[in-house]
Amino acid sequence: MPSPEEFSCTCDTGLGWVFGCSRTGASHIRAGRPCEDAYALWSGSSGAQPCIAFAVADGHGDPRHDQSRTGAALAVDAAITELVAFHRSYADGNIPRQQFRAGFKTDLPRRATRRWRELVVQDAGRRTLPPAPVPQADVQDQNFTRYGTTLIAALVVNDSILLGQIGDGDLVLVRPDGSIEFPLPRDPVPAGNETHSLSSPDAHLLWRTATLDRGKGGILLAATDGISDSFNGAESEEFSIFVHSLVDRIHTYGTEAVAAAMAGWLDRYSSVASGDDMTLVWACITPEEIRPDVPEPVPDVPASAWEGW
Amino acid sequence: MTLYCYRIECVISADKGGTIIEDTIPIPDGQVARKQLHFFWLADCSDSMRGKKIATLNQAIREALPEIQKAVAAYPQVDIRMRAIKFSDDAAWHVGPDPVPLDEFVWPELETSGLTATAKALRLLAGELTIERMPRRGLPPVCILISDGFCTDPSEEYNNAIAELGKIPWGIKAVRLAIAIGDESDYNAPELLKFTNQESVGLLKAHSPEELVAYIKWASVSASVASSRGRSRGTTAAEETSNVSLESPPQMITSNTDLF
Repeated sequence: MPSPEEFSCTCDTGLGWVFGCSRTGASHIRAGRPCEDAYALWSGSSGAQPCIAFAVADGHGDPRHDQSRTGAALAVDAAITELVAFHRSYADGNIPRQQFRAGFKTDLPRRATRRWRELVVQDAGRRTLPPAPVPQADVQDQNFTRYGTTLIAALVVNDSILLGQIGDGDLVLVRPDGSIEFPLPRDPVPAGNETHSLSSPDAHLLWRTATLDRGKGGILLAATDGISDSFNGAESEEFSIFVHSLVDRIHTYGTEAVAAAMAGWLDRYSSVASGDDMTLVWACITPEEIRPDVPEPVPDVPASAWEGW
Repeated sequence: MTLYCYRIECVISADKGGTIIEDTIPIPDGQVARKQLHFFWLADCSDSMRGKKIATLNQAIREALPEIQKAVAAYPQVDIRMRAIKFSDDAAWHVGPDPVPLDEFVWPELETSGLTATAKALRLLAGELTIERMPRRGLPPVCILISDGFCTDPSEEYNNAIAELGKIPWGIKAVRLAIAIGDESDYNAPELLKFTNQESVGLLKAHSPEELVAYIKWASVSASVASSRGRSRGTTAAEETSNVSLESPPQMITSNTDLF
């Protein structure tokens, strides 16, 4: 598991690049608490079919979730494992696209939730945990609560972008024409610092999923809520301005330069605004290539628009 | 399958003064905002509050303001917005309805007259705690009710107002405290207790000016700090309480020579 303090970047599989950066929140630093966010990136191929997978998790900070830092790390581990396994199971079978997408929506929430719970049980069995801050009757349920976290998972393949999320945080896709898409409905929890969680007994039912055409590609952002909270929420105009401006920086200065600057930016947002941990993963997804056997329209974006990605 | 990761180094540039590390890219646009914490005073200004009680309340709230500021200085990400509702024959804004940043908040002198329309004050509060009027990602609001008497609105109206607070998400999540002033036979303790949602605190009973000052300061500072911590947690279906917990209030040791 990479340290959340490091930048990381996956290689170009032909689908694009993905970068990640995670920073300990200013309020966490002041309180001597660690970063409770986690992220993981993966790229590779199966059956000659490339894919990019990434995941972002935000461990709950409330004292009852005292193992949430580990819970978040286990969540991104579980997500990547399941995304890659899902891709592999379909890549070898020449499955029709609609069936592939339907399978993602049906299977990912159940599989990722189950995998996370298995990892939590293993971890809790392997370590000697301190007494639970809020004891519950069922020890296993108590452990899930202690490891509570949100999770965002994304898979990019030849023709599709597949997304899943439980709890808060933001997924934003900026298409090459500058249009912003929020592919998933927002966390339905209406108020305050509460959010849906992998630790909920019915967690597999609390996921939101979406499947998109890769089409002309774009920049896909996955962020913990500390970032949008710094701009008064993802629904605010200021958050849209930030997203547009970030994409503009990537186009103007290049992805590596933006990656190098990201830690400082996130530290600043945390110190002057939300105070929360901040994690941002951004994938620069290239336009879908036209294959002779696939009757898709020809992308009309000039290749030069994607130079530097 | 292969995992490719590498660390990207900082941009290093040189100037005449030597080698420095600097950001060469302007930070992205967008106005950043701190998390809002909405604070509501609900102050009884009925005729029975006349004299020492209202004078102490006015002074205590003024003295509490810098103490709240000092206490939440450790949470620079928090933007406290304060308002005040006064109630006697009716309920009205004493400061509001627009919330005022804490560092600009001034407590105007509160005058006394009339009855004790506590239910109307609670309904005015509930109207401000709706999803539409509160920031979705804000911190739990703080609501402090201060009264010395029985609610003169019909009890059904009072109970309906309490029930309304218990139905709206921000009413549930708010830190709700009540301070009762004077002799216990003068106010309706069970009624005021219904407003509160902090079991460890209960109803704060101020028998003297000294206790009223102490409780106003303790309640406002403790609730603001507890709400400012604002740590996220997973939802639990069966739970409909504030997600902020306060410690028990301090023990009051006061002389019996200066009671209300």
